[in-house]
Amino acid sequence: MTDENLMLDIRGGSRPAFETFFGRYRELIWRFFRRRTADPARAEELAQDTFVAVLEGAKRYDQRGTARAFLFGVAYNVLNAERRRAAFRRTEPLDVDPASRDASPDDAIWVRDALLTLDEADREILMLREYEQLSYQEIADVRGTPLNTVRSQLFRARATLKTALESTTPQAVRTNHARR
Amino acid sequence: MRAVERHHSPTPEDIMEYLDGEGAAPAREAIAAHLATCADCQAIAASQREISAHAHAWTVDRAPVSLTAPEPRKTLWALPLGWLRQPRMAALTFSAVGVTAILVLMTAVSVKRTGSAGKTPVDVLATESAISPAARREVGKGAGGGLPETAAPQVFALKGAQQPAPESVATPRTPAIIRTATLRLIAKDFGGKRENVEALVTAANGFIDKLTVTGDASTQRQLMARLRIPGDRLADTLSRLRGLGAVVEDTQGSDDVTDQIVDLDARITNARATEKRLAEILQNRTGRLSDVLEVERELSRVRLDIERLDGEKTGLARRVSYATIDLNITEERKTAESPLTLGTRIRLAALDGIENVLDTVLGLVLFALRAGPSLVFWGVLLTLAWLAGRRILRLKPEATR
Repeated sequence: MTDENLMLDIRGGSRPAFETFFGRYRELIWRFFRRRTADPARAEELAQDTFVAVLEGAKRYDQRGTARAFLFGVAYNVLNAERRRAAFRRTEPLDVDPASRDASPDDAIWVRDALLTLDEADREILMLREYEQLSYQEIADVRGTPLNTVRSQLFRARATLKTALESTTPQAVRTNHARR
Repeated sequence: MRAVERHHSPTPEDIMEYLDGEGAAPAREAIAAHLATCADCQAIAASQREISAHAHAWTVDRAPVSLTAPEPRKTLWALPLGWLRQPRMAALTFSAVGVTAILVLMTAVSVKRTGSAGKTPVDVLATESAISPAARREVGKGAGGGLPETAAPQVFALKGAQQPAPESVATPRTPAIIRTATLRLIAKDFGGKRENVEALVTAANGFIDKLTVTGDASTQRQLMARLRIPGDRLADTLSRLRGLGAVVEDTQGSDDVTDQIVDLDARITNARATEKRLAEILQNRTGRLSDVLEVERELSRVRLDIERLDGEKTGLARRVSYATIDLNITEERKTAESPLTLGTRIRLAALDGIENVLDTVLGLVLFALRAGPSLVFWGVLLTLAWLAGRRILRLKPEATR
């Protein structure tokens, strides 16, 4: 069953449809918040809030966009609300869990620091493409920007990321972090 | 970027789009065919792939097992209207309820103040229909009491008799109303109006208090009269008088003098009682000469008081019995229209225009003074409500896209 049909069933109040939808996007939404939130516990809460909002707001899904765009639109709203609250607490928006699964912590920090050199809009578009694997149109729907803008911003973001990555190496990053 | 890349087709963006799986199928096929033969584009593609590969070096842990599918939130109370669950509508609704509550509260306070400050004439009459005991004591003093403390013991004994007996006050059974009317007329044909008025008054069994006619046939004539008409014939007489010309003013009024008459009756009764007692004292003549003379002087004063009060009461009774009509009939004069010169008409028009501008400005100023404070107050209130609603929206996670 497609994601769109699942959303229609969820809108009709189907619990099994929601659980199926949840199973498909559980990891993706968790990683979405984990890469954007310093505290893993908070990332879990935000992921939970996102699915609650999807469950309660399914009636507003109007099939104009994909179900994934709807889901990540909700996730972005939850994230923006969290960032507004975090602005009062002055917490870091990005951090990395030292216990990363596969790559070395140095590589993760290296990429993260390079991403931080991007503009916020460029960084978000790049992350949605690379990590959440959204299509250009889905990114445009989530961000509320035109499709051509997404395309040019993504190209610019990748070029900037490449420059930032080339200017530092994982070894240099490890040395810098050791000095802190 | 090298100049050749700018004008090269496909552009690096096109290649990026192709690698991301985007773009229309014909364009993708063309790019794929081009990539097979163009070294520059292959380098660009390789660079793009490398960027993605580096980005994917940042991985995160898997979701915790505690992240499970949530249950729908249970609300403590079920709203009859589902749209209230939306934060925007909830904020607007609560703001509107707050504004309405303030309006109702202000109206209630205003009504309460109006109700406690003023009483209807019926209420006033109902609560003040009887003379209070304190007022009766004052009446007794004014009418025949208040004798000097230096008076003889016989005179002092008189003070005990000065309190009026409540049963002796003549209370009118019906309210005593003095009715008045003012009537101004413009008559086209002034001739015979005086005779008409006199005939109407006679037919109503009334009388003319005074009547004056000024002017002659060459000037504007005017008739001014004060007519006294029995109260029960007032309405009929006014109706007939209105037929004598075009009505330009027609007012009627009434004055309830019931309390005044009751008060006068009480004072007259007290005075008569005092007079009677003084007369009895004089008849006995058992005191010293100076005391007798004092009693005589007091008796004269009391009799004068009685006459004055009687006259006052008679006048009131007459005014109650006969309504008063102030009549003014003015002859209509048609003035010959004198032609105005062009300069005069322009000047008059300019003056009118300036006067209109001044009236308009004055009207705007008055409006601003009357409505300005209210507009400012409500503007501030609604702005605060709107800001509160926006804050609520920002603080709640929205389930919208």
